[in-house]
Amino acid sequence: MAVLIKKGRIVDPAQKLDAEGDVLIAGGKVIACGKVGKEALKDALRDEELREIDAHGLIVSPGWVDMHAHLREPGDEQAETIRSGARAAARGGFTTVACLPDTNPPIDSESGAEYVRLQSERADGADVFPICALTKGCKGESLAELGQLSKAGAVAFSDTRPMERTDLLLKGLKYASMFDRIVSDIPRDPFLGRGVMNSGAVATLAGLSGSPAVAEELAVVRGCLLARESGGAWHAAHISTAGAVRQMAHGKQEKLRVSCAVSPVNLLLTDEEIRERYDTRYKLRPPLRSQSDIEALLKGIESGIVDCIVSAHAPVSDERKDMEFDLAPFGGSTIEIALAATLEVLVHQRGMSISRVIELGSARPAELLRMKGRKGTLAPGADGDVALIDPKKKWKVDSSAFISKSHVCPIDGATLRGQVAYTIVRGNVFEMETAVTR
Amino acid sequence: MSNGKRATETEKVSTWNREHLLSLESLTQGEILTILDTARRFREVSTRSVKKVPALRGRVVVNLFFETSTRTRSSFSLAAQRLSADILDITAEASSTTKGETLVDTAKTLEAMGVDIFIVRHKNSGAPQMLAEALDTCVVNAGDGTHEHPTQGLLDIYTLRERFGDLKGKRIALVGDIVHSRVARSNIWGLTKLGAKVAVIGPTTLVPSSLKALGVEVYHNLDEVIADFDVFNILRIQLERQGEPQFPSLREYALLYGINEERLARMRKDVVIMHPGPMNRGVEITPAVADGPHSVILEQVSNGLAVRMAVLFLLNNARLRRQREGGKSTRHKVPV
Repeated sequence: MAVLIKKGRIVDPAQKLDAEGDVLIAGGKVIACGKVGKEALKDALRDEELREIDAHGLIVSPGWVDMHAHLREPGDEQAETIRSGARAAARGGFTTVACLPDTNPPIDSESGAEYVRLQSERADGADVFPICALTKGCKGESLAELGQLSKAGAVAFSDTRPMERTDLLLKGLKYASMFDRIVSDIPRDPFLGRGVMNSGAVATLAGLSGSPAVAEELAVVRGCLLARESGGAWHAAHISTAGAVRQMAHGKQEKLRVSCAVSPVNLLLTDEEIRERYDTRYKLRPPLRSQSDIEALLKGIESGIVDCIVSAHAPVSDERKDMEFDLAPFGGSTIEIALAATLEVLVHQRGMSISRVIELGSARPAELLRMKGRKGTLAPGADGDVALIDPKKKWKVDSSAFISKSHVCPIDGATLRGQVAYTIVRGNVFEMETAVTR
Repeated sequence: MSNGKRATETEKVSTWNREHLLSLESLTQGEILTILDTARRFREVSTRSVKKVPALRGRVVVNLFFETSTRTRSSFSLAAQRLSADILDITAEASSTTKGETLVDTAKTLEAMGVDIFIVRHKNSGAPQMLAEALDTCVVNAGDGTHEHPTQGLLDIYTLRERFGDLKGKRIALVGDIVHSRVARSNIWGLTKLGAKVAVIGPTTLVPSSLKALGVEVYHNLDEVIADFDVFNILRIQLERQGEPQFPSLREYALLYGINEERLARMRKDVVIMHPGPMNRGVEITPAVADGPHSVILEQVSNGLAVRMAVLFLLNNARLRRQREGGKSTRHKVPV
């Protein structure tokens, strides 16, 4: 089916476009963006039926690209599957998801990477691509076959846990650069960063072990130095501290190939949330930090030090969270709220331009995943991936209605401004009113 | 005691409406004083030849201990028995948690057998809070992880009030492993609420400087401030909680922070020495100090019984009153 999106505000930072207009998608690709000529429309209708969407009052954004989500398949299908995760992503406005390899078994082989792509095709949701293991079995002992994995569809490499061995990280950065892939590192010192929440006054009073901000800053310093040494592209999967922003700024000033992402949950909540009730839905990685960290992250986003927004979706089956704080697993279900939470905090609370925010969620992550031109833009020839956003619509997060198999959400019950009305993945339309159905 | 005074105390008891004791942080000064005043009345029971009152007759109290304990558990058991309650002792080794059952399920199973009060000790901070939210019984925190040990804090304060009366302006030092000490946190909250000036003393690796935010003084050199305090509460070095050692050796610790006769001689003449037990004799405190004239360590233990009787009595009263009045359960709902 061809799709004609009419009279929306098209915001596509990759084309430096912010104007009212129409978008035509046919054969799964964007045919025209801005003005749709009669000829083009006629061509499109030759083989396909046309669905028209009135986008008046909506923002027509490129579909968002999430470069940090755990989809748990294979191995922990109770928490999430590629199918449930891909559909949850679509509901949240993400049309592309790069899923992490810390599954059981880990995605460290060509067949593993191909399995992710196959499951994605069957999923009827967002397009899912594998981030593959940097080392065999994500064990941090020897490099995985990065060349073969790149061929099989790996969009980036990550062990999804802190790298103990600095020599292997350096080697991985060097070797991955041959295949033009980033290494997405978990920025946390493996020894210093072992606590269950942010270090500080709250942890001290609650009697919980702390993971200090310096454990993150240290890892960012190491990443920047190794990027310089290797010439490779080092990416901080998610940062949460003022120190990390500071060190990323140094790295970028030096024009190193370094990048970083932030999860909107780390912009909305502080570690104070844990104080009163030891609520395990706030047990997250990276941990909730302080108000001054939030302020530094926001400034980092405004100044361009932060490259992109990620959901950091880490679904955990509900019953496993129903435990003592120390024993409960880290994580939360955030892929359905990340886009809206980002609009709430950056556009509505902070007054940032919608265009810059969309860049953080689409063009820049697509570039980092080496999908520039194909994903994260509405330029003709790109995949027909769109998020139609009602920018001011108020709604309340209700995690019990999530499509994701995990219903543990750190901002459950919050009121957000900005909601996804339609998501389109390669021409397939998902309408939010009726949940995800074509 | 005059009739007027008696009336106000009765009034206090009847306005007490908490059904859980989870921390001293959550209590007001008035609530702390209510417990202490109630405890004073129960202290007298221990001096009778028949050491029993019928306040909790027919009620079921369960000691749910997921960590080993001798003194706290026996103190709670005796307290419950003196109030005529039925008491059941459960330790983690004997429970189903070893078979994979969750904490809440274990407690709910027992609750279904008609338990009125759970006394919970657990190695994870926040565990009693979790049970208080999940159950319709009273929950008493008997020490959770490195968070709080409220009845220990209360009995320490009770002991000091017996000695000093008003604690306003009294200078009290907590010495040792503050980071891992739930006793320290409960003492800090309780003492500061009663107007005492609290200091913590210990090695930099065991004393979090973030406590300054609570108005607590932080020192690392014991000998420099040794003459400045009315009370030293010596905390146990908790090797089992530290994971990695936080100082080079027990020998070095004892040399820097151990309270011995030589140090005692440099303290104030009327200084009070406390220890929550169990003691590592020869490490944080020498036998001569522990058993000497300044020590109130055994008084602390006897007072603990009265304080725990008071706590059980007050919580049970509040729950009975709520049930009589047909009130809803105090189970928390998740705030939105």
